[in-house]
Amino acid sequence: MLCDVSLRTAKKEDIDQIVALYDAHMQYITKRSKHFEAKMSSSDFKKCIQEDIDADDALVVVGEHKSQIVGFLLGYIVRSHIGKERVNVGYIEQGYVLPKFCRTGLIVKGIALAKDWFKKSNVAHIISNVNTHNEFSMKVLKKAGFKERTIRYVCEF
Amino acid sequence: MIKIRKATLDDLDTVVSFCVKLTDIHHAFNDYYKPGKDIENSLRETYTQDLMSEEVLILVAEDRGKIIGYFDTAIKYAEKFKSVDAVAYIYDVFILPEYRRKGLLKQFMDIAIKAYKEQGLNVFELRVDVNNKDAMNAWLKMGFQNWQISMVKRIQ
Repeated sequence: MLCDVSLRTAKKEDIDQIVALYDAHMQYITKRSKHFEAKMSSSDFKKCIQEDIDADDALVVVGEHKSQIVGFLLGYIVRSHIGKERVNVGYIEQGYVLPKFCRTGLIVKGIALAKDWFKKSNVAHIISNVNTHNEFSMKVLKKAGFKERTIRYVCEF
Repeated sequence: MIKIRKATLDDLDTVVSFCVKLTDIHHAFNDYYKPGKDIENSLRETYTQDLMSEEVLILVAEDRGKIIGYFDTAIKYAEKFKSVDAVAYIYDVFILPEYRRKGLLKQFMDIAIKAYKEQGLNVFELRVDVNNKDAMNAWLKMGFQNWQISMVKRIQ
């Protein structure tokens, strides 16, 4: 099926379809973690995507199958500390693929596309945060060459 | 008698030296944390600003005039996709080896909780390297729960 899916950077006309996928994604993750409720409404997300598509430090990749957007992946660059040194770090967040198109290698190919884009922006490391229960995403990221680095802990008081 | 208090600029040298030790500990886990060439000056600059910031709370523990540990936290505004607006983020904690396992971490936390509750916060957040088993055990003992794993890929 992957041969029928093309990967490319998003265009303005993809926005509504990306937002629909975002809603599906939020329903999925909110069910699984109380720390990750959908704080951002669909309309706020839409504004963000509009900005990200235009921004130089953000990347929106979409997978398209017969004119339908079947997955998306967001990347952005931040100046961050690594070992107390400030460097450009690439983040990949909010990747989602319609269940029908899961396990087709789409995310791994999307990450490869993002990697090339990050490289051009002098990014040395890409980070992706995954909920600890989300074994599927961890597996996909490992397949794409990611390694576990830190665990994020929370405590309510 | 161990006393915990807010750090001041007079503690800058000690806090920086403890942070350098922390960086070395992390570097031993992974080359990813390799310190920059000018780490001491960079830390000095960062902590000078932090010690004067109202959004940063740095505590030090003192035993008979000697600083034996520090606890570095700050208010961190949550990412756009999270359910809370802000968290009390624990950046660094260092306690001299001879003072570990004596309940100092709990004392630091109790003071920080009191301060952050007054500011309307109710969540601590932090990150621990996956190889730092001692730290993981200590935080789990303090009631923390793991939530996310940061996966990293080096591309250059």
